[in-house]
Amino acid sequence: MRRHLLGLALVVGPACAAAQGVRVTGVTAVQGIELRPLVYDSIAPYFTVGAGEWRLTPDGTPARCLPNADYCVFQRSGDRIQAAPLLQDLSFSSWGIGEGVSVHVDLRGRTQLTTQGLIYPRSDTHFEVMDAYADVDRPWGRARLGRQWIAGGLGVYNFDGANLVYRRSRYSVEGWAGRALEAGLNVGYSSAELAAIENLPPDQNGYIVGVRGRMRPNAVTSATATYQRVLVADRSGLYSERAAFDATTRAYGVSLDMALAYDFASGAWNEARLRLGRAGLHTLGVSVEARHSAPFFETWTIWGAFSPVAFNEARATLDWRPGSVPVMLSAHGAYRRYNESDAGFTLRSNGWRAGASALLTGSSEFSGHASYDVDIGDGASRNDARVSVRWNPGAERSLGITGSALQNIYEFKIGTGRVMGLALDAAAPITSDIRLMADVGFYRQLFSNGAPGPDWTQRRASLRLEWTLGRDPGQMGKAQ
Amino acid sequence: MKRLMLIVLLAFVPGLLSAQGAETFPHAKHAKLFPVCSGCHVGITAGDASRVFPPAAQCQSCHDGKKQKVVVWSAPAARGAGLLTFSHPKHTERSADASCASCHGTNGDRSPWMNVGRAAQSRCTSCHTHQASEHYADDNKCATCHRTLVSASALTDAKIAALPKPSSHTRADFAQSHGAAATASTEACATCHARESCARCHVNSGRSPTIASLATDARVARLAATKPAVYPVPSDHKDIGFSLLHGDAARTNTTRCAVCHARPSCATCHVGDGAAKVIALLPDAAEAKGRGVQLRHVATPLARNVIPVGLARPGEWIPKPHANDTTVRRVRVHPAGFARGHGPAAAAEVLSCQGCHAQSFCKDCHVGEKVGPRRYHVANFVTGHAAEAYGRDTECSTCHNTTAFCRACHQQSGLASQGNGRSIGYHNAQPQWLLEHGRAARQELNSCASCHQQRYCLQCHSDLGWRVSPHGPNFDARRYANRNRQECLRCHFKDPLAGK
Repeated sequence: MRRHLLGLALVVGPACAAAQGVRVTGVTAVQGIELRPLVYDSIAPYFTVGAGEWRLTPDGTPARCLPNADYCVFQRSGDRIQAAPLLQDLSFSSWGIGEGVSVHVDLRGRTQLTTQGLIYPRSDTHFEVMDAYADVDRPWGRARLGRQWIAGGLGVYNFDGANLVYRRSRYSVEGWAGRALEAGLNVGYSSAELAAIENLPPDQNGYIVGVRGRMRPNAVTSATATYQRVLVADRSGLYSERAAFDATTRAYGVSLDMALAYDFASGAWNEARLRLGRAGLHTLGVSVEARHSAPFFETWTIWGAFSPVAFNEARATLDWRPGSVPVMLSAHGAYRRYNESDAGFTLRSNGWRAGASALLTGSSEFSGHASYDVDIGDGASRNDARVSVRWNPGAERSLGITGSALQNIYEFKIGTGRVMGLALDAAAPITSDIRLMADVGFYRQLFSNGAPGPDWTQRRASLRLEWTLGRDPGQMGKAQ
Repeated sequence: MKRLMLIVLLAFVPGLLSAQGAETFPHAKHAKLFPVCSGCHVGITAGDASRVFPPAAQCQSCHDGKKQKVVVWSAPAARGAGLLTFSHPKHTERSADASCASCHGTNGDRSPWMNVGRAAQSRCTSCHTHQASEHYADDNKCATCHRTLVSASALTDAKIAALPKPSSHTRADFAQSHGAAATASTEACATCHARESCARCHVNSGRSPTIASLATDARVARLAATKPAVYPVPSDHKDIGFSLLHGDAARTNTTRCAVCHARPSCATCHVGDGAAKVIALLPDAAEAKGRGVQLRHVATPLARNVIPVGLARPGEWIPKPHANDTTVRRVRVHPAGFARGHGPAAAAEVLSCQGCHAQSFCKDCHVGEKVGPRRYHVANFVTGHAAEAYGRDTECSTCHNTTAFCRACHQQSGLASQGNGRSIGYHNAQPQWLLEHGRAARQELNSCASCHQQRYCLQCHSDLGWRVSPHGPNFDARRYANRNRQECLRCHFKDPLAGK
């Protein structure tokens, strides 16, 4: 911790002192979360319904009665537990240190204001350096050194190291290398954080090395090829070896997006996606997509050896934005089928999803949104309907109300039920650089078919304060 | 109601009292007295403005209180330069046989003597033949009879405001098509317009030779200041993909963009160096004459998201200066649902993400904790996230560390496995789960891993356990081992490929 802070101070201090501009943004977020976890309970066998090992309690809950056992075991919702995680983000940007030189640091602090039985994920990681790098950007390319992350067709990888981009006309080559960090954790592979949650964690750190080539032959066409390895620290093997190819172009009003991701360890295409979109019909947008998806696992886990199978999916979307009415209507539908798993008993091996939504922005102050989605597949299915109305009396000021009705259907467990919800949210500026946002939700679970399950009836709330110090470097789309 | 009537009276009565009749001198009543027009209006044909009307004493020769009742009459003040450029002397010179009645007679030359009025416009066009049948048609040569508005110094603001509107100006496409007509015949425009008329909307009016050829006029400037600029959306802008495709059009014809857009329009989205050369060709805010289209960047609605709190960012909701104002536009760079499928576009970088977004913008979502101002998932997404996770419409691991993030919560909520295969738990609705789980695992292994740790499966699928092989028929052990041979030893006592 001290080492982290000292390192940061050494980087940020001189950077701020020498910079033409410094901008600091902060987001403070507090959440209130409730949960009723499933707990084990027991019941005397003679109170159960049925016979044999699997029986039911009088209220329909499955209970397991092992032979010759004095009691049967079942699960029910336990007492309500609560948590109030507090997250604090701080972002420093300083620029103008030299020609094209800037320094960026993103920090996150976490704690829990109260812990009544529930520990919010990662809230015991009190301090995290999400990124901290110096950036030199010139017309010929860009160099970046420090903690950073690279996003592309392989997903998001963070690492401590260097990244270099060389640009020439319509082509660029990028390379990166450094100490690999666990995705989304910002810790090394052999860290205690991973070991705390996984009983077979990797015992060595990893090093990442990757290269990416990009070409943009014209204004609407670009393609990127990526190759990346994460090496085991002692170079005895690889945690991953992957490649990706992404391309997008447009012709005759039709856009084409393609994404391929290949895993050399399993020999599987983790992602193969081809999407054709026609958005040139003035108010009508149409797209069709074919997708092949297989999960990816690094080789420090055993999961890749379990031969996960892929699914193939076809999807279509339709967006309609009539010019005369300030409404945007959308609909989508998709069907997927899993490859043969060669694993015995037949379970559902297909799925489909569909949905429709309408966004009404008739007035500059009021807007409305309604949506319905259904997703039927193996493992779990759901129906989800939502309606919301938002009032924006001024810039940065808003008040919204959302009603929702959700049905969960689990294939692998009991607990079918509906959750009805009502949520309110509001945002208001305190000053031009400080903004307060809050939301509160009330949810009630209604069990259907006499099937009990985890009770999601609860209240949730969050409060978020955003503030900014320093002037805008001019990038309006950037987080402020 | 009373108040309304009072207002109406206050508005109309002074107007009525001060109004002057169109015909102040009853010509018809004097028909027998005056044999020729020039007896009173001698200055008209002579071009002598002081003698266009007779002196009051001439009336008093009869209206002396004895022969006729006394009348008070005075010649109207000189009108000054109006829009008409008609010259009586020139017309009488060229048409010697033209009588006054031929134009001013209520029925031309056949009119009874002294039945006169204002000359009808049809009398002009009977000689000055129009190419079009309509007086206000675009292709008429206005300058034949009219001087420019700027030189018509006698016109008041009110009269200018009340000038008739040609029917062509009310056409739906007029705003987009008037440029060609104006360039072809600026003179015609100048009859009713001054430079300020164009500068009201045209951002680049200072650069346009056509507009610059019009003179400036303070009256028009005053009127223009009270009227909102109007920017109808060109048909090609209505294309959903226009925001992505407008670059070529802008490069090809930047002047067209500059009619409605100044550089701040572009800077709404173009915050990097991309397109800088083209944008530099547009007028900057200081040069821009017209109000210009005010673009406001709007966050793109997520694929199936209720309008998120984060959508209400600066510039999203803009008060309009006028009820029918067309200057303020909201622009979405990305199509609806872009958040779901932005991966290929971002990876291929057809648009430079970093041109608009800092890395922290991506981190709002990809770091996987709800801290930033934007929200990817709907409110209470956690309730129904299971179907999403199984179906992998979007990959959870893109943002979340599924090992730590999912499993930590599943364990605390009692969903994750905490014992061995004989415990009761999540799969309690599947009594034959032991036989069925293989297929479920192959199809949704990532969901399994969100609850189960690796040792849980090794109870059966390892040399330490029941030695049930988890490998599928197409498992390429050598390929796998070539990447990480140590991993084989997680399950196998000894290297299964040794010696092979």
